[in-house]
Parts: sequence; C-alpha cells; structure tokens
Amino acid sequence: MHIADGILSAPVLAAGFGGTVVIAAATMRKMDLDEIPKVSVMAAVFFVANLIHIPIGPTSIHFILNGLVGVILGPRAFAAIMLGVILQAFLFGFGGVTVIGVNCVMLGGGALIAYFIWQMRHRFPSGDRLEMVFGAIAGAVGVSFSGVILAAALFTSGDEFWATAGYALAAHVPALIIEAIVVGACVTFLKKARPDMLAGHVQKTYNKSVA
Amino acid sequence: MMKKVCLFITTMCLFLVFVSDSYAHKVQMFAYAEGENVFVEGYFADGKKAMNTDVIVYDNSGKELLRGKTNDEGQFSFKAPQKSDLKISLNAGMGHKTEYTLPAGELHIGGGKNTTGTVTASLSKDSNSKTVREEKNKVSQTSRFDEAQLQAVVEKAVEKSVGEAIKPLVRSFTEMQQKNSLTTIIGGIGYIFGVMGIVLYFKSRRSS
Repeated sequence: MHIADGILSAPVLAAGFGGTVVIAAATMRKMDLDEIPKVSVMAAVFFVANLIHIPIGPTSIHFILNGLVGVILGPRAFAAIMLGVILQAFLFGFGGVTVIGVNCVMLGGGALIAYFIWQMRHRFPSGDRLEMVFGAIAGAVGVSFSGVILAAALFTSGDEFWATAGYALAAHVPALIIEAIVVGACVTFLKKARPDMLAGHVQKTYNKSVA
Repeated sequence: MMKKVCLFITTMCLFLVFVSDSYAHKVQMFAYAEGENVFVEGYFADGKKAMNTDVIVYDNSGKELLRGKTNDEGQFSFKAPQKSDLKISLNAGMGHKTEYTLPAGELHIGGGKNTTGTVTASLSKDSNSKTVREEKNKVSQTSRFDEAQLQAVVEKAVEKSVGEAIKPLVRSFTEMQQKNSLTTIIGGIGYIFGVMGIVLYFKSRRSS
C-alpha cells in the first residue's frame, strides 16, 4: 500500500505534504490529555500490523487496519497514522521518505472516511449486529479509499487511471475482505468489553449497555 | 446460517489470496556483477519472488540503457553495455519500486583480455626487428607476456570462484539487512510511546 520513492512527481509529493499538514492541523486541535495514550496505542497497532506478514497458503498478507484506527480514534486517527507512516518510512523504508505526505493522506484519509461511515450507524435503529456491520463496512471502505488515492497518485505519474484503479482495487480485494472481518470482529468485541473505546460513542448507549 | 456465511467468506478470501499476487508488499532487489554480466533478483518483503517485473537500467546521467522483465524465478540478467555506475530500477507496479546503483568498480568488462591484447601487440612489433640485442629483448618480452597472461587468467579465475563462493553470503546479508527484524519493530513501538511520553509531559505541564 505504501508508495516507494522515485515514482511520483514533485508537485504530487508537495501536494501530499500540504494535504498532510492541513489535515493534521484540522484533526489534532485541542487533543485531550487522556486521548493521547489511546492515540499512541493505535499508532503502535497500525505500525506493527503493516509490518507483520501473515502467511496464507503460498503467499502472505499484511493488515492495513486504517479503518480500525478510524473507528476507534475518530478524527484523531490521522495523528496515529501519520506517526506510524513516518516511523515505517525511516525505520524500514516501508514507503519512501519523500512520499510520507502522500502516504499519510492515502492511509490517514482512509481512516477518516472509515470514521464517517462508522458515524452513519447513528441514523439506523440500534440492533444486535449494527456495530458489527458498520465496523466491517468502515474497515472495507478505509482500505478501498486508500486504493483510490493510490490509483490517483499513480495516475499523476503517468499510469492510466481507470486501469490502475481497477487493478489497485482488485489487488486489494483480499485485504479488503480480511480487514472487514477483522474490524467487524474487533468492534463487536469492544462493544461488549469497552464500548467507551469506540469513537463517536454516545453516553446514552453506554449506560444502556452497562445496565 | 451465520456459520455458513462465515465459511463462505473465509473460503472466498482464501481463494482470492491464492489467486492474487502479493501486490501489497514492498519490493526488494538483490543485484550483483560477475565479470561483465549483471544479475538482478527481485523479491517481495515476504520472500516471494517478483516475477514478470519490469527492470530498467540507467547510466549515471539517467539515460536509459536497457530494459527487460524478470523470469519466473524473479531473476533478470544482462550484459553491462558500458563500464559506468548502473542504476537498476525494479518496478513491481502499484507504487512498489526499488532502485539500486551498481558501482562501476564491480564491473569487469573485458579487463583481462585488454592486457593480453596490448602485450601481444608489443610482442609482434618486437619480433619484426632483427638485431641480436632485440632478440634478447624479445625473449624477456615473451616471458613477461606469459607472466601477464598468467596473471590475467588467474585473476579471472579467482574472481569467478570467489564471486561464486561469496554469492550466497552477499544474498543472505542483503536479505538480513532488508528484513523487518523484530528488534526494529519493537524499537518502533518504543518510539511511539516515547513520543506519547513527551507530548503528555508538555501537555500536563501546561495544564497544571
């Protein structure tokens, strides 16, 4: 998912850094003291999930989990992902250093979109599987959005957009399904165990689930 | 019902994972020169070979020299067209690309042949002259030529066998260097919590 050095043109890289600064400034304002540990824990989860390859059959996958970060942290997800992406670039060469901006927008943007999808659940009558379904959709959308940004970024470097976009999405279909399952499962678990950890959690539902 | 749906989804993902290649992985490269031939091997972060991947070779100034595709083993080899630093770029698509510059010093383009060539030329020139003194000279030249030739042959042989012997070593070293080691991952987590500590420290000072 991470774009390497030497592929994108300078204006795109600059736009990536610009976008990162703007989004970071908008989403990191007035962060509470007790939010910071949560953000750090999710940054660590994101950082590790991206690096560990889980062998399945002849090949292997690695999680992206930006959807999960979005669902848990809400707007603060961008900070967590930015930290993760920066460390991945410097420690592992996972995504180029000059591409940090674009990668942040790509993965962090996916997390923010996942959060918006997640918040949509308030418009539906609450049910047993509501959280699970929306968690799964949010997880899948997070990855797909990143895939679209990836295609758009590659398009600017000369690849044909629709072919690349189709290719990018097709290549991410397994990741998308696995992410949906993982995020759905995590959300279901958290809903039972620690509902206050989920983003956009309304106090009323919290009381109800406690009672 | 739920169980069946779960089973269906799992088999479907397994199927898709089987079919699709590991596009989501970082690509890495291993390149080495043997004489004038350059071998390139591409593989993904999970150890899978990068098959059918575009390889483009540039010279110092960024001029494209040649291009090709890796075979089913993820390998590609070419004859170095000139003795200069070669910038080898391997592009696996989807934003996965890696570059490696092979220094000119590692290329040996016809090095041995050239020395013998010049020696032979001077020898034939000498043999044209007829004085005894020069005959003597010729004898010494001949022995020197043998020495030079021997040296070239030995050099070439040593280079080849040492290169062969070192290859697995270099390969495992490169792989080790590029691997996501557990220590670095734990180090990264440490960084994250370190940053958290710093932010918390300044935040708490401000609020108190």
